[in-house]
Amino acid sequence: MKGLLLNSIIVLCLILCGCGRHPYKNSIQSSEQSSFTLPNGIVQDTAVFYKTSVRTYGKSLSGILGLRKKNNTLLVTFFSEMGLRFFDISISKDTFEVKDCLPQLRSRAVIQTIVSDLRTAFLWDTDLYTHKTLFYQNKRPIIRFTYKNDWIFAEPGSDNTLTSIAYTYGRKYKLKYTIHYTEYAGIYARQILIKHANFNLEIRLSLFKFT
Amino acid sequence: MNIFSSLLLFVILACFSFVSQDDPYQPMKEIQTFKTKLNQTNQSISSMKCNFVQEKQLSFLAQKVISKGNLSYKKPDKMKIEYTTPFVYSMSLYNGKAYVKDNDKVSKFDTRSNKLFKYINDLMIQSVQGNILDNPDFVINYQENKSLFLVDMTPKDKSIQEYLDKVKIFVQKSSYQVVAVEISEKGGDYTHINFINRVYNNNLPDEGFIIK
Repeated sequence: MKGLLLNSIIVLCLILCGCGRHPYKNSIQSSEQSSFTLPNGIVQDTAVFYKTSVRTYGKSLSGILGLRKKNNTLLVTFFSEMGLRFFDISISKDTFEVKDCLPQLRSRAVIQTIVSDLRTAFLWDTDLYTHKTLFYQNKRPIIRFTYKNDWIFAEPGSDNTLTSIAYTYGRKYKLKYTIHYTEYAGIYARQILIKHANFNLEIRLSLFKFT
Repeated sequence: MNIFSSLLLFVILACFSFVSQDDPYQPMKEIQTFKTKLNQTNQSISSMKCNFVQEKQLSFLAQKVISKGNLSYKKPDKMKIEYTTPFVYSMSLYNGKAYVKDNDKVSKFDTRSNKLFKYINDLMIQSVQGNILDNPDFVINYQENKSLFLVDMTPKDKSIQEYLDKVKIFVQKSSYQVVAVEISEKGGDYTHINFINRVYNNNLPDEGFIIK
């Protein structure tokens, strides 16, 4: 009886994990066209700041993320509340350049994760996302964009705002990470949450203005 | 802060930067006298409470950003920094431990377990105390202008140079009190912190340095 209960729990966990990792596997493709376009991530040549909290495997790091879009390049700086710079990175649609970075963060995996997350979260470029297709999931419209060999699912909110983006890959749309946008102030979401599916990493961003 | 106070603060800061720009620094003439008098002032200070204005130059974004808050210090090793504008964030150094409060969540670290944290901990306390001249980890250059002494310090340790290019301590000539600290990084970015409305030797209870 005990063994049966244990097996049932394991099967249930696998089913739940499977659903969590492939959230769009059973969504229904529509033949309709969607008018939804990804909104402009950040206004050109305007600096935007987010109070940022990064949590990974029980450890946390907080600081201030500064972003400025110049032409089609996203300039990103991350520094502590007391002014110590963690990194300066410029991100364009296909490339990135690390201008400066603390030795502790100078790892290929860390930098690539940062670049991918921020590019998806803020650098929406119509060239980046092609082949737009409308899907429905639980009667909610979601738009699938093709990004290189991967898939981005965008959930629109009211007024052409963005509620969430899910970065997926593979035939069954395996989830890499999701980005949730809430509490809009004009074109900017006041709260952004980036959550990775394959490892324990959560990034919370809260919009604020320096006076 | 009312309009009058804002204007007054603006005028004070404008005057400060005017003096800084039009009153260039020269090599200090009486270094030993400066050290002795600064040491005497330090001996007479048991606590300090002030407001601060922190200006950070972000050359990568071509932007200067300003944050403000309150700072308390009590001899020998207690310090609390509370950012109030434009974000809320507190950090306290208390008996070798660092407490950080962010988004209502309090985290605790042992500053002795991390080389950089211990370095910054000691640096901050010594900067405010003014006894940083005893720190053997820096090459120190002494300068002065009409109103300020400037202690210009370059870290000797290569690993610390990854984080800090220079630390500058500004000491008021009339009082031998530390009025500002500037930390510059590689590439020319700096963080300049002005200590304003300074009140010395008030009774600051130990409990006030614990972040809950």
